[in-house]
Amino acid sequence: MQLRSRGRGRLCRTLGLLTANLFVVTGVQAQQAPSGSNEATPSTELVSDEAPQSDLGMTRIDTSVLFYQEDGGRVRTIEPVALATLNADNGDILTVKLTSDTLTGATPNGATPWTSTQTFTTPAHAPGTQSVVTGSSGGSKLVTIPGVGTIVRQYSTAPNQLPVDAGFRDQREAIDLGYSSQLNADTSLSGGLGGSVERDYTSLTGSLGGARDFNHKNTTLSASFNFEYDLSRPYFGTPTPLTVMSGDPKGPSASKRVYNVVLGVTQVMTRRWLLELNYSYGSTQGYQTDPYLIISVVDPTGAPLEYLYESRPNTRTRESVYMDNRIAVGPTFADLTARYYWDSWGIKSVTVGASDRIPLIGGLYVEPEGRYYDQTAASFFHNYLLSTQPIPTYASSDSRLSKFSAVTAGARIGLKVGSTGELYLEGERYIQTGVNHPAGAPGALAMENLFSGVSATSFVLGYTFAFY
Amino acid sequence: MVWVLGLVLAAPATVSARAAPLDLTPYKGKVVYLDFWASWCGPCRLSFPYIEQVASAYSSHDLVVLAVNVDHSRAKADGFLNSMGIHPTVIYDPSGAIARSFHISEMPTSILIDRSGHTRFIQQGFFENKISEYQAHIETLIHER
Amino acid sequence: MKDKQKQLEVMKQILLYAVGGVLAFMVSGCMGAAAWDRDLLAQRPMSLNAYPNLAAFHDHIYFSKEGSSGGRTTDGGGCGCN
Repeated sequence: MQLRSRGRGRLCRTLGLLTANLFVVTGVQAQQAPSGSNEATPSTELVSDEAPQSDLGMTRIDTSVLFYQEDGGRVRTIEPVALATLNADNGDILTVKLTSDTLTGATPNGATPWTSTQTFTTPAHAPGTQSVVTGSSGGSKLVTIPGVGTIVRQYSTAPNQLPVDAGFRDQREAIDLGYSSQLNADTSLSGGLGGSVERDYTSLTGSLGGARDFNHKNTTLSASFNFEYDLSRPYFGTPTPLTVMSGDPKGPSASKRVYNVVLGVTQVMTRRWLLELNYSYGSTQGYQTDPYLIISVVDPTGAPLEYLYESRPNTRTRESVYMDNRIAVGPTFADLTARYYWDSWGIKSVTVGASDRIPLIGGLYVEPEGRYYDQTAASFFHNYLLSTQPIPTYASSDSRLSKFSAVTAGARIGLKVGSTGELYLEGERYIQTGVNHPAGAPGALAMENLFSGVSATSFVLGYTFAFY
Repeated sequence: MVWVLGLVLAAPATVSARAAPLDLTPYKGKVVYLDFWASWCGPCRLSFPYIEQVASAYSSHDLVVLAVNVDHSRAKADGFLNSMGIHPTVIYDPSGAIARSFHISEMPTSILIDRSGHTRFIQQGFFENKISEYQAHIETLIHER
Repeated sequence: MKDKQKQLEVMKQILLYAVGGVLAFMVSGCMGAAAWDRDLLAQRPMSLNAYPNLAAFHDHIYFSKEGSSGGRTTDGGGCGCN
């Protein structure tokens, strides 16, 4: 009996070590193994000073604000969020979340840089109205087309600069409600509703989910379904894909529907290790083109001849597998995540993330965190289209659909306040690296930087507390 | 980092099978209410005032309430008791040996043992709407001779 | 370009092996923690959604700057996200 249990212990240790090794290797590949864990004392008996806190029967408030700034004066976001989580004594949970989001700054319009000044013309009016679009500030001007009398908006990009539309400003308000009901000791059902409104975009979501514990609460199986309806109402209407950019009035609003299913297993591996594995499948139908993005049609010297509104397929299916490991390492808490994603547009991506929460003195902790992301390009991604070749059905120069990798490095510091509260500050740096000079760029375009991805700095300041 | 993680993973192997089960002979002839609890367990916080009520209400009825604490750290257990201001008779079981011998599968769990030493009722979790049921269990055992 | 593709493949393979290792560990019957051994699991940093606002901010940033999204939860993004 004792021998058997010993043999099993060794098998467990071996399996564990093998698995752990693989995680570490993945981390090294991403060059971001959590720096703190190297110093962690390898003792299984070390226990963190973190006071355990169950929120059962309590109401928790979590308020935080995100400050996000892209390099080169591009997008800036300030996003305050207030979340209230009401935990009933019987395990039921009601959540109410309010989000407000202000975006300003310049966004790339999709055109390639060129050696001379480029001028872009867009409509100045919403369809059917005479009021001028208020978003048309930021370096653009209103011009009356001679002869026709139509007022249009124009902006210019200096030679060898990335063309951006600086007149970009948006405000988003969102509300999310969720309720989770503990049906019995092992089973819970949850439902949610959400809505968000921007000046040019409305989104409504609904979700349903269920979770069941097995195996003395060591295993949880969960399934959830999410439906989303989005209505895109571009300032000047919806342009017809692949038509020439102009100040002419555009078409009506366009919508899309998103269905998403996530199947998950959460497994207590050991006293110190919790694992979550998810598979998700999503299907999107409808308008998925970015109405503001254009793509340059260039001649064999690389010079832009015209700009076409971009075009994307109306259907997209996405799949991913996701893994989250929470591991108590000595007195620290590590979080190791990985995701493999693939979709019908031809994008495949790998994401790995790692963080380690290290307790310091006096209720203070520091949590260094890192993330590595790498994706392939969508099958219809083109930096530009060649005038000498036929125009494809789908074409987009959106950097989000291009081949690139991204690294995030940052840290969070937190301070325990009272028995339930915490003040936290997170700072992160996000850097995208793409293909600046793709092979085969014609003429002088070979000298221009064609990757329009970003680098950004963000801070989050938050405070959370709970009360009866 | 690798072998730190290895130790994390090997944790179940370090849990040995040596059992030091609770000696209940001193309570022979009495009804024993064994409450397994921990400082990190949310419902335990809700159940503790009830446990105290039971202990005082039935103290003259040959009922012994023993609060078995399964925290790995005694300081945390004592911190919990101080924060609650409730001080029942506590048996410390940091290795979980007693909990294992009673096959505890959920926290909290209360086990009611009758006057002849037999386990009669097992109450898993703590639900306020089940208090009358819990009470009935105690009454049943108290009135047995 | 080929290197990138290869790196992606290698990482995918390692991830697959890691998932396989985890599954082997799970079916081996070694896994789990007893009810009285949940002290660490009960702590906030061990819960999968301890900082929902932070997770939402991260999802929002990555959703608006990258071609992939989702996986963590079913929660919809719900933004035009220029």
